[in-house]
Amino acid sequence: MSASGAVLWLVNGIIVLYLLAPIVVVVATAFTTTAYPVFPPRGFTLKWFAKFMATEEFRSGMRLSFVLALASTAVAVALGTLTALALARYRVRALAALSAFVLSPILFPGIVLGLALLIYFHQTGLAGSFWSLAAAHAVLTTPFVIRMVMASLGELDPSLEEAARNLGAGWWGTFFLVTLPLIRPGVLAGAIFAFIISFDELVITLFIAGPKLTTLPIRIFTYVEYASDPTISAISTTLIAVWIAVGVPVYTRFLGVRHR
Amino acid sequence: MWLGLFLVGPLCLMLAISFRGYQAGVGILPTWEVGHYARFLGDPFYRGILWNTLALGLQVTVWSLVLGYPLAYALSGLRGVRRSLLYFAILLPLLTSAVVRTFGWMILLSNNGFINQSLQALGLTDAPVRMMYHMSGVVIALVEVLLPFMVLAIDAALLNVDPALGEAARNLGAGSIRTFLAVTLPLSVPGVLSGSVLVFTLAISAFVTPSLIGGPKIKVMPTLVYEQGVSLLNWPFGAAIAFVMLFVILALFTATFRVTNRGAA
Amino acid sequence: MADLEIRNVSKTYGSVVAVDTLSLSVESGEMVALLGPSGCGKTTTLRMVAGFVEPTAGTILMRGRDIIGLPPNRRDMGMVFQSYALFPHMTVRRNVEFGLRWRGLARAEMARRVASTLDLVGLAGLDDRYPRQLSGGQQQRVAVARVLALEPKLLLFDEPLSNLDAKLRLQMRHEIRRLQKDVGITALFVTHDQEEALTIADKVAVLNRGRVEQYGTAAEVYDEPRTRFVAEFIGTANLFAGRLEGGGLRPFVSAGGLRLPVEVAGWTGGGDALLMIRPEKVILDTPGGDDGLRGEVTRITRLGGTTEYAVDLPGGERMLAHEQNGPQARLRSAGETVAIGWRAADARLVAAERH
Repeated sequence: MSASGAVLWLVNGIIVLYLLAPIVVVVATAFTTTAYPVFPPRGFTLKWFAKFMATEEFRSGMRLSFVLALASTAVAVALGTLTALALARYRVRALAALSAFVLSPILFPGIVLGLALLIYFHQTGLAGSFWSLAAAHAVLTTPFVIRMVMASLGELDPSLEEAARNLGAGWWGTFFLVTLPLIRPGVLAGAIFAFIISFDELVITLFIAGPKLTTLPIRIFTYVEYASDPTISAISTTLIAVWIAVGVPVYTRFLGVRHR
Repeated sequence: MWLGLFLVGPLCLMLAISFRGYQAGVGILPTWEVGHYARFLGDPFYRGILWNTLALGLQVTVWSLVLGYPLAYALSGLRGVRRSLLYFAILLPLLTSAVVRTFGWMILLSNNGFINQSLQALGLTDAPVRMMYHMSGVVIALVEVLLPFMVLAIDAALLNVDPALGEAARNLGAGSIRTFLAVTLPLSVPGVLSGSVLVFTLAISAFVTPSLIGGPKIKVMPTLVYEQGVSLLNWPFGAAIAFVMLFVILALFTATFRVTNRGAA
Repeated sequence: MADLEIRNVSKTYGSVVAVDTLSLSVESGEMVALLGPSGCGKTTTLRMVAGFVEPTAGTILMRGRDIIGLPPNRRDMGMVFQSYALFPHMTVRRNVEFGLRWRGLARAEMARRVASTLDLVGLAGLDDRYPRQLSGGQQQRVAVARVLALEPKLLLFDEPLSNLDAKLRLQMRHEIRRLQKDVGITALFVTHDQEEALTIADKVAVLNRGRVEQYGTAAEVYDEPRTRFVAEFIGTANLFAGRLEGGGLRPFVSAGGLRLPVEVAGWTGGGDALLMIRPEKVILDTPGGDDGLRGEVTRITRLGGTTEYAVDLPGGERMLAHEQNGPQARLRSAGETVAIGWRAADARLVAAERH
């Protein structure tokens, strides 16, 4: 390897370390025996995990986040799939503009959207309800579902649907027996994405979730603001592990489809 | 459809409210005024926050560019398993939420944290370097959080560069550094631009990292919006600030759009 | 009553006219080929019959019944697509079975039909394979089986053989024809390959720019082309512009001043016309007597079993002649003078184009 090549690798190695540093730290400190997170950790214990499991606030937060993510994902998948189908089916001339519009929530600053929704919900009396929170999450995550489904749709041979119709299938028959099975990878990837995003969502949720709806990210955030003990590390480590376990298979199935 | 309902609707409403009067302790008044915008842009305290935020965005963007480019360059040159591995390593931070990563940085950056201890052990400093509750800490953490976006954007652009161009340059006698500067770098500019815009936008809208690492003393626009909108319930003012932020972002996007399109024509 | 009748059907996309007042009728049990270059409207016409495209004007009747308003899944037609459109996530059996579901048949009946159709196309035993595990030819057969299982009133083929290699194409061509004849189903076959159309179909409709230029049997279309386009699209043709003058053995005077023999009987087209003679009908001889046509061989091309001669004629015109490389054939050389002639009955008049 040339000298400049070696330097490049060294530099990149450091950068990657920098990139992964906080994750490593968090995971490591989850096992420390000290009363506050210390890196490098001292000792090895699982008591923080136990504490995490034992604390009702965290458990309820987790339950709520889970159910919320489930609800918003369901909405996002349904709406997103239908939108993707509509976008792909009808050659609207403003397609580029329309898809840009539809996909814009990804780039939108959470702060702005959060405040806007807070005001909006208060004016329309929807504030603090589970479903308005779920709807807000759905707005955020639907664009991802649309992206993924459209990617799957792009690989679908249009004559397949025509063949199904020709053979006698009606709209629903064609959709359920032919289209849906073939776009399942896209829908699934979109669903998992949407779930993860909704579960981890913090900023907008901070704005609009009422006092009764404390999701896990909110719990973590408030906890970290006022105290910090390795319980947070334990929670974080658990989340990281789960997301990797779920994310990797999705990722390997969708190499390179994620980006434009 | 529903997007209009949930996105455009609330935004318009917020725009309207930003022009309403407000009196502390009373609530939103049924009057119209541009006072909030004036207050924000006129009052030096708030202007300072604006510059603070933009400066943060700029610093973060520059650093992520400096660190992100080499990584993207290496990534674009890889194939197969090695590429997948590196790609995954870059993607991994995105899979973990911002709160988790910021928490990790809090541990690292504290006065007794790993970084300070290492620096002191190596004899590079005598006293702990203040990073927590300091803008420098925010920059360090935020760069890490947003770096993957920059890397991926540049990587995408680099992949679009025809390798034959680089080979032609080498064939004509240019050394590898020359080739890079004259051929690869200029052609990767679109990716650099889109990555920078993305990172800048995300940096000035970042809430979690500045509030956790910066603490109550470090004020940027997102934390201000939260404070005004949620804690103080001064919706009109919060709305005004939010729209200033949106305006900056939109201006940036339009400018970039114009530049890239002019180049393409 | 014709099985399928297309009446004055048109299709326009904005300012583009894809199909222009097209009329065609297909008798029961016939296989009709829609032949033409790309963009001539043949696929659009087929898709209008299938119901995937709505005509801008005109009507389509199946056994006397107007089907324009019917959605594609209720027209009782089977379409074989260019890409076969086999459902990749279903086995061969489920593919063939697909259409039967909507007919409300009993399980046993469905299974029986699937089995007998697969047998018919020669794919018995491959029920449980997936399309990706099959060869191109096998996939084609599944596509055909899938529509045959439904016993539809009409079969529609959209250039189904384009994706196969040459040998397989020839083989499948005959297979499809055999199946269609055995089962006796009326069929519409779209292709751009004129050899295919002439071999496989009872009647050929030659399409150009959205219109039917000629509709007849393979022999009619080949030997008696009615327009210049048909003459040139099907096979090769020598065309002379000129007019009919006088009578006798050589009533046609070409633009180059040559007097040529041609069959005049039945011609209603007027004085200006094109004379068409196929290269294989041209007779080359060594110059003997004095009253014949003479030309100079300028180019010789070996075309496998035949040799093509390009011959320059006095007056500036030139023509092509094909000679079989049989045991009696003598290879001519470039620059050689030859006598050219043909039987009047082999030459035909074709309408001159209006400009």
